[in-house]
Amino acid sequence: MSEQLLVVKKLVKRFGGLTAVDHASFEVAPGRILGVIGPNGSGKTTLFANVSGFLTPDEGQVIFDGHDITGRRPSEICSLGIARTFQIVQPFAGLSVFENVVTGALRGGRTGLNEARDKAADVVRLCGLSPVADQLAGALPIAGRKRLEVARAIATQPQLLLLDEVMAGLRPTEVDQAVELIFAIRQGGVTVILVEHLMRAVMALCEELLVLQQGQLIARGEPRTVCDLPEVVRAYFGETAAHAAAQELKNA
Amino acid sequence: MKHVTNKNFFSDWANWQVVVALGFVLVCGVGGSFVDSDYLLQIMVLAAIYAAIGTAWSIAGGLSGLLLLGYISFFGAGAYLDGLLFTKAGINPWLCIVLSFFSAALLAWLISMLTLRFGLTEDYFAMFTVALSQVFKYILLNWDYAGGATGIYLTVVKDDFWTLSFIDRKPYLYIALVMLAAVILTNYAVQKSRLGYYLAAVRENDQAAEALGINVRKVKTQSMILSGGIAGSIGAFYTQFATFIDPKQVFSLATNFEMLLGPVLGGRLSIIGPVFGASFLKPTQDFLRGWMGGEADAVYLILYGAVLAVGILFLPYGAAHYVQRWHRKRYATSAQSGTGNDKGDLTGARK
Amino acid sequence: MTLEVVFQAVLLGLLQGGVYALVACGLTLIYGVMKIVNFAHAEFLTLGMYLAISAFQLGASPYLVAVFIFAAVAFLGAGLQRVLIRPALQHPQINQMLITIGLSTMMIGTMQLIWGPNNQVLTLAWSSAALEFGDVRLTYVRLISFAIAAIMAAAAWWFLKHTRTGMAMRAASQNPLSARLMGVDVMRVNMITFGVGSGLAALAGALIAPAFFANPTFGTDYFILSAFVIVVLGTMGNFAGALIGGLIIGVAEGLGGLFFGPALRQLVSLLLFVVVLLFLPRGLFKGKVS
Repeated sequence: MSEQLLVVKKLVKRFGGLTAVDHASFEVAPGRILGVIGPNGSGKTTLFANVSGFLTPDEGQVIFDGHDITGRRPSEICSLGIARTFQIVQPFAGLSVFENVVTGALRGGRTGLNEARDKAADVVRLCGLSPVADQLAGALPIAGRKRLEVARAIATQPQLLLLDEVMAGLRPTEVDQAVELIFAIRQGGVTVILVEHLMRAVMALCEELLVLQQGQLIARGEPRTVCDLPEVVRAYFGETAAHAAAQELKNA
Repeated sequence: MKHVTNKNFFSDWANWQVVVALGFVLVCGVGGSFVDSDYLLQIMVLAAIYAAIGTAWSIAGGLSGLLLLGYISFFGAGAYLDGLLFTKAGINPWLCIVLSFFSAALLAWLISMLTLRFGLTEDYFAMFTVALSQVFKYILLNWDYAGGATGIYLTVVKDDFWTLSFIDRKPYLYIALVMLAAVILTNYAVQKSRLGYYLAAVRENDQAAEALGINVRKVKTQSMILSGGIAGSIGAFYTQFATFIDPKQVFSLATNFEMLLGPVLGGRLSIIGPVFGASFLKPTQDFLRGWMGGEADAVYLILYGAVLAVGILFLPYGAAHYVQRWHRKRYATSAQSGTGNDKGDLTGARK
Repeated sequence: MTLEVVFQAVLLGLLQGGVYALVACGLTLIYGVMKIVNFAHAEFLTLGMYLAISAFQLGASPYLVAVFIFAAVAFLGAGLQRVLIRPALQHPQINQMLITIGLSTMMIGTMQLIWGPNNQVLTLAWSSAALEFGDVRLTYVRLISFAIAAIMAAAAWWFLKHTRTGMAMRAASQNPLSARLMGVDVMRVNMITFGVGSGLAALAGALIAPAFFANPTFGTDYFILSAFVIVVLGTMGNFAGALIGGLIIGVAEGLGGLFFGPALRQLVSLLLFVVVLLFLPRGLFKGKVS
């Protein structure tokens, strides 16, 4: 199915006795914004790590744009078109904001230096980082660093962007700005998958949701529908709440 | 949108440094032509050699952030290669310099392949390079063909440019300075290129670099090859200059760490750091040791160790760091327009 | 090359290995907790030797003062860590290692100043007396060294496993952040670790003083590379690994010396180092820190 940008087939990742990702399978069509939610420890970040090459799956396949990228190096996967941000931001603290973005814009060598600088200037503007472009990345507050993380990632001109809890630690106004930015990114033709806890952002952004619990995909569908499902409620809130949810559905 | 370029060539830190460094080399060359004392010339040549070594080391050990603690392995390998090829096979020393570059580069490549594997911490790399230098020392001490503990002697009867042998010390100084200038330009070129960005990224955060499409291992290997190769050719030159080498000399751990003093205390992310660092420290060391020597050798050691330890405590990023801060203020651009007026300073001054 | 000659080499190797193990344990402890390679470690060994020699010249048996030497140098080490290394904690890793190199040079200079650059030796009246069975001859000197080393290693092991400080050290070596969150004073643990580690090296030095010539660079010339090999072989940071690794390397060097000649003994360790780094970089215990 070459229309699907990303296909994950029966991915399994174990750490010793713990199965962090348990036979996860899903596809993402180009241009979508897909959300991945689930309680802490459900394997969301591990899933990202497996897709972006930082971990090698024990079983299963990851197919991106028709290529089998299972277990390849992260830098290779990036040059094929997947970019990611990290849950704990990883800026190049000693370089300026602009230089950080240029590093991304170089796309591992596929772009020349001057072109990269021009492109980086555009990205800096798009992400609202112009006022701090010459500041050291390490000196930015958390919101700025998250923004920079995203800017750097999109400077690589990815087809698919993986955002790992990019809203964590942001204030409400900052969250709104982030949502706007992500919409703008999608507007530019980038498919987005975001792992997120903040429901407000999830509801606003995602056309589709995947729900993970203990490494397994327990639900998939439209945000509104998925959040009312008993399985999902159980995953987050336990049995009693699930019952209540099931009741509500019956009465609806 | 076109990126706005900076208004002044000198407002770029790397540009400013390379001009200052090359200017310094020129001054040394001109000044050296007036010096008659062989003793002084000897010290100047050694300083130039150390400066070149330090500047080359900075590519892998500074810009890339690699824990390249056993750098002398490459220097010594180059020195011995020249010694053997020249005395045993009569191969032209200039050619030896080139060959030493490639041999040392190959060695660096091998080491990188073996030790920069995914999952191995950099401490292994550090220890491996240190241990390797001692392995070389040990092998050569016991290898009679290469002179064993006695080493290799070069006989020089007259000044001969073709075979890089001179009675007079001055030609060595000029050649050393030319080599230093070449290394300075290489370091500068790296910093200005895409490789410079990659090295900075890998140094700052190699995970993030990998996620941006930078093949961290390949980049580290490249910087090693460059650094190692240059050390090899400098080693080859050293043999021609010193006309006598033995394993304890060219694979000495003490010398190894002495060579790192310049870039570490001077500022390993900079160009002027290693150049001025070595130019100041090496002669000072030589004078002090010569003056104190003998009985006071112990005191010299204590002093030297103290300078190193205290120096690092007070100058954790090297002296050039403060020069860079001054430079930043001096050439500060109003960042309001925010497209990045700064052409890029990859050795970002911290705070 | 009779079987007994080989047996002798193996036994000697084990005895030597016991002392190696002590040195390596100190080094691996320091690495495990502080995550730095202590390049001054060899000098603490040399210091131990010199202290034993001086004590002997004052009339004391090196074996009796060994424990005191351990304590004294442990305090010294802790103090040095506090003054020189702790301030560099936030700086790039290379800085801390270079500081230990500076410390190493300072120590060599100091020892040279106090004891002079020439070889010193400590000869006990009974240095040559040995235990003999069959064709095997083991000097009492080496046997006692091994015995004391074994006792001290066991004591250190007990300390790590059963005392609060010991457990704090192990916690800090596995996960400094968590350890700190659980109330472990990581700064203090670092200091103690460096002290204990250096003390162990000095103790080893005191134990081998009767068997070797001492000079200021003795540690660096003869012991430190073997110590590094052992630490890597036994997995960096793994105490038990250092013990076992010490014995293995001791025997390997002994056999190497037997088959290739004494001059190449060191080469055996160096080559082993290269081999270990290539094929067993995580050591025998595959990255697990005790």
